[in-house]
Amino acid sequence: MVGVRIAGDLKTYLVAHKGETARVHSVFKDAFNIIDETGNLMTFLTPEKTIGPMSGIVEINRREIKNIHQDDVVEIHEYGLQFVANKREIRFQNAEEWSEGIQGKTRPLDLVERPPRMEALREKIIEQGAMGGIAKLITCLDFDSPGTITLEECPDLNEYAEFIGDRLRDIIQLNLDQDDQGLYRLLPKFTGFGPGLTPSTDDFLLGLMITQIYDNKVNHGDKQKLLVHLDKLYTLCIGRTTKVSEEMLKHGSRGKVADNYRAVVQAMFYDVKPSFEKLVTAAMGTGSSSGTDFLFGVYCMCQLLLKRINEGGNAHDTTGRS
Amino acid sequence: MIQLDVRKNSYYDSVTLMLISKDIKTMEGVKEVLVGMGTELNLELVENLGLGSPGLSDVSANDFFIAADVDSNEVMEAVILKVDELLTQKKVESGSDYQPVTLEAAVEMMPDANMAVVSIPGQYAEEEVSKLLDKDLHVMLFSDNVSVESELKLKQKAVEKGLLMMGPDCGTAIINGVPLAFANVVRRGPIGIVGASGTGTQEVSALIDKFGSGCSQVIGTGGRDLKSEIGGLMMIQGMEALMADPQTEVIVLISKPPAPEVAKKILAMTKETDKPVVVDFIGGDPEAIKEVGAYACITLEDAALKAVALAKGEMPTDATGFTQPEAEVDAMVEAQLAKLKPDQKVFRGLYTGGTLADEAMKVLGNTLGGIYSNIPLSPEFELKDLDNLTGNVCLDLGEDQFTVGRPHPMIDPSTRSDRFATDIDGTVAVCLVDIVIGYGAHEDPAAEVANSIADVRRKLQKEGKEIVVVASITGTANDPQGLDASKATLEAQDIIVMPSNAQAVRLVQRIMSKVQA
Repeated sequence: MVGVRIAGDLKTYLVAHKGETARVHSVFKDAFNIIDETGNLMTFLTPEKTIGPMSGIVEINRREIKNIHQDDVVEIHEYGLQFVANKREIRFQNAEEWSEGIQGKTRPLDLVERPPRMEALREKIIEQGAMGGIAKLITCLDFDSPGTITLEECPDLNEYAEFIGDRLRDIIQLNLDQDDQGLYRLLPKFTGFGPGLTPSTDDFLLGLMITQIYDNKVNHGDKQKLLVHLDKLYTLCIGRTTKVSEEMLKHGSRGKVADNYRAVVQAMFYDVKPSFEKLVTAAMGTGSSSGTDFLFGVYCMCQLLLKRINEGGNAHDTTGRS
Repeated sequence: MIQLDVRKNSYYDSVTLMLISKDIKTMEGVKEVLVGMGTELNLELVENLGLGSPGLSDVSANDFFIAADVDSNEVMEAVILKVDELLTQKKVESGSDYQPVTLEAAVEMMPDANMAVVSIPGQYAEEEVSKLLDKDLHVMLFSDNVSVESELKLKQKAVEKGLLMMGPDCGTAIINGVPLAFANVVRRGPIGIVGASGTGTQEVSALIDKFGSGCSQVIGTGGRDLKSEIGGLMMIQGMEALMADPQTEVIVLISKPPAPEVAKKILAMTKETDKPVVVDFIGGDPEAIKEVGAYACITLEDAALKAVALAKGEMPTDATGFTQPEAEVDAMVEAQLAKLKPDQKVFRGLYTGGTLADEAMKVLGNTLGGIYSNIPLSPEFELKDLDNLTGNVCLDLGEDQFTVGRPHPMIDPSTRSDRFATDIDGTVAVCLVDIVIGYGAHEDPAAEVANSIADVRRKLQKEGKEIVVVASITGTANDPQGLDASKATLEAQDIIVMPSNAQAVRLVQRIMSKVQA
């Protein structure tokens, strides 16, 4: 099997771990995951899927994926992987390398340019988002009261949104207040909730994380402090969510995220060429409701960053975070 | 009784989990169910929903669970069987026959192929289609989100090479009797169609079959073909093909009103053939069509009837009424009016087919004081808030705002089922729907509509109200779902099934004009 695209961190990983073995963790119709003995997860995708951190795009069809089974053992090589049982290989020697870090080389948006994008994002989530997760809560959150985020009465919520609404509000409020200790206390009661392999609250958290990283970058904040904080958040999620989601949050806490997600967050802070609407639509297409829940997180973090500025605070305070 | 089924270290993608959850919830004997991964908080929700049981303490974040409140052990067994079936189904689907990964491999596998159907993300389509045209293959491009520039380049290339490049966003075609994408089982016959609108083309071809004739070829062009930027390149190419085709005796052209210069070019071509040409530029200017000696149409049904008449060598007439006798229709109207309360004043059209929705609004015109829509006939009637409908409303549920993250409602009727629940209340007098059957469509859309209407009626009964529901079925007797079976399913739920969309709309017009009088 030929690997056509490889994330930079996976390429580095393969070199560092050559000679070790790993096993197949999970198999889907257009992707499979491989996990090593220390819990590092690698994802291999068909060409139709979007590349993300620690992943590679492989010219593989569904029939071939069917022959891959959970717990199959693989050997790690510098060039890729070899399945021990049948000696089949995935080779990435000629694969294009994809950079998984954040980007932002275009003109940063002025503060006045951001609210219309935020409103467009909100409208798009409400009108076109997948509401199987928690994103319907966007219709009940009020960011307008000074110093406070309120959760209005909200009809027609699904069981997930209904259950998590108050905690989600509290998570946003604690972020607004930059009450890290409060956030650390509440997070274990927030992560890992919702339908799907990456539960909705984790998709939401990822949106919060990546937005903070971009804000930090555009405002030249103390990156190291922010990364320590995000790493703490990720650490608190370990064991409380699925392995796949844990890995997603690990990468997210380091600013690594799939292309289609990255493009939307970048467009919230930078002047970008592609149509904003198309970027949002592409991100929404992830998973069943994951894309929409991620965008909901992006929206909330953008709102509270703006709220801090509008209410006279400094969005970029001494913690170096925003 | 509360039951729990756990599968250790089992992983299913989110879409599969959501589909399982949705299917299980509708099973008889299942009062409540939660399906998902066993994270701490999901298990807390299980408890919160009253689905807690001792086995929950052994469930971990990487386990898949089904927690259900069911009527009996047998129901739970059925639930587990259903989950297994859905999961196996997924595996079977993913393990189907060999599918070449590259275009080169596909061509190598079938060297005699002369047509390719392309359904890939739009941004990659130009490159792949261009390669196919280079290999002298006709193309049906199902993908949307292809730029106008790409479409023009590809169509110019196809024209140079004498090939068809149907699309982008081409949803239907029948080539040499083979249905492609969304298409009906239409018998072969003397009528050739070139259509720039998917469900419009399906409606005409299915009605041609119903009226006893058949189609030689049905060529789709994609919805933008007759805009200025593209200049009708594929409609012209399609017309030329039909003009040269000895099996085609009558040509039907279907499109929303083209750009004027394109219409002029297309209509000029009709003079170049001795074959009669029936033109339905839905809502377009009929005089320009008549001037060139072609046959203008009032509705899609009218187009089918005229084509069939011409194929039989008869003089076509305008179809403006009903198949049933007028007296019968009047009696039907009165019977329906008797069911309604005085405060039931508005109309809802919930369509899966965009052209059918468009035709409905054009036939109704301004008779209802304007119809609000997501595809309005004029800007002042554009719906700003899709979640709070007021007044008369007709929705095309196949539009992007309803389909992000879920399949087209012709495939997955849940989009419309959800709208039935939210959009129909005690103020609504009449609901108008389309049922599109055939290849590509849901396995039983009529049953889905009938079930939704049953739910709506139960809700309205609490207010002491009824609702009039009028439907038409786009399809043929030989479609996998069956025209007669679909009709019977709808009628069993007291849904009036009219022979065509046009007649369904006219009936609604009759009822609503009295309701609003």
